[in-house]
Amino acid sequence: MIKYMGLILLVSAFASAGLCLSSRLSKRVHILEEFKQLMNKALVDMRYRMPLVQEIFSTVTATEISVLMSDISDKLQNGLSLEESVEAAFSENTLMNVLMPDEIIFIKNALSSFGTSDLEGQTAMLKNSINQLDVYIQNAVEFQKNNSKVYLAVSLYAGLALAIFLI
Amino acid sequence: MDKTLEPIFKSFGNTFYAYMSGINEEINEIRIRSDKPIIIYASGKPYIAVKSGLLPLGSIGRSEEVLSITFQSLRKAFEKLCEFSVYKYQNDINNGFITLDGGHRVGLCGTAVSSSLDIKSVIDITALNIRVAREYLGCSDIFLDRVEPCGGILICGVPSTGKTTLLRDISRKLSIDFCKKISVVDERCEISSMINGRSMFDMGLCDIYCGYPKEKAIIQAIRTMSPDYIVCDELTGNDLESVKQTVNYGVGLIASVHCDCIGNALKNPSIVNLLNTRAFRKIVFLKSDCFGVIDEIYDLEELALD
Repeated sequence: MIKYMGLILLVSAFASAGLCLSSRLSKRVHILEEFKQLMNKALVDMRYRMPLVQEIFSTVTATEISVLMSDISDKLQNGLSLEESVEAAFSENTLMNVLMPDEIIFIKNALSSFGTSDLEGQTAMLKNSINQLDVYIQNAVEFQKNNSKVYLAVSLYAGLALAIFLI
Repeated sequence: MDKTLEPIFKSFGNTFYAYMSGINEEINEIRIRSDKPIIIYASGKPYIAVKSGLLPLGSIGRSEEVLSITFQSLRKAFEKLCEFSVYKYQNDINNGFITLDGGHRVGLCGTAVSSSLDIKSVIDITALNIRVAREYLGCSDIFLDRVEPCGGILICGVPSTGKTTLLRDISRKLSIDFCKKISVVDERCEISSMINGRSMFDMGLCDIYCGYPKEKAIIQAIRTMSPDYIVCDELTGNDLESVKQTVNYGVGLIASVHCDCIGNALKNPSIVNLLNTRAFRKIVFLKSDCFGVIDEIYDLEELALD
């Protein structure tokens, strides 16, 4: 009896690992979409309200990236430069590990360029970043479609195979 | 050191901040040019900043190591002064300066990106001039004793003779002590140093039009605030029509222009045109190399204008 219980647990563990890997893919898409929302909001805010960059970051309500953005805002308040704040906040925040390295670099650069130029330049930069983010999101969605079921299936089959082998 | 100066000095790095903290003289201006020695005007005299302290300009020895700031550090400091939101300060930047907490002004020099006649933005900042703002409450006491505020007054002086400071204190005093309705037309936010709707100085009971173009603000003030006096800084020949409006509506105008003496004022067509509007009854010249000290007072009726 204990033997069968153990085998069921083993299969469940492998299945959860697969589920975890697949949820990372959907989280990646979700985070990229939240950054896109942030940039859209910044674009509108800068045009019509002209808030400080720190204010833009501190008022982000998106669920996944709000902690990161308020971290950046706090660091700015403490006298760090924007680039330093972004770098430090990213290194302290493990949430961003679901993103690909090139995506992280892109987002870091985009955030660091906030407020470095006049309104015209800033809106052009933001529009460009939003377009680029669309491409990243599209790639992430495709990757998720192709791989999330595979991750789940492979891990489940691997668990079953190991269970059969142990029997 | 004035607390409001601390974040400004910190923007240039800890070394600069520590250096400035050690200076005991009253600082008026700090001129920072990329990769060039820093010049500090303290107690009205120019000094060069060397590692060991301040040396009078011109007396630097070869062994002295001068303090300087690189182009990249200057750019970073500029962004920091703009709170990493350059776009928010764009209008000020295009006008050549930004106003910071405490009313301090940072003059900018760089490469302008222009379209037709307008400056669209300024890039590659190569020089900053930090003008330390100080409020001298009561600095207009002697002025108002000598120049009766009846009709318009034109204050003339070269830069750094205290025209703006004087205008600020005159506005405050007229609005409180003389119970006059004063509208301050502060196109470049220099008089009131308004930040987020809050003036950095005591402006008494004045109505402040901050950032408005002069001509629009003057008309709006006349129509809506029924002022006894309109105060504005740095009139030019372009403001002629607005000045005429104040005469038409019987509102007194207290304003300043850049000019050193009556001879040069009468040679300057813009000033002559302004005087010809009859908006001013008195012309007051401030002494050069002094702060807010009257040199000469002229009654417009006594002057023969073309």
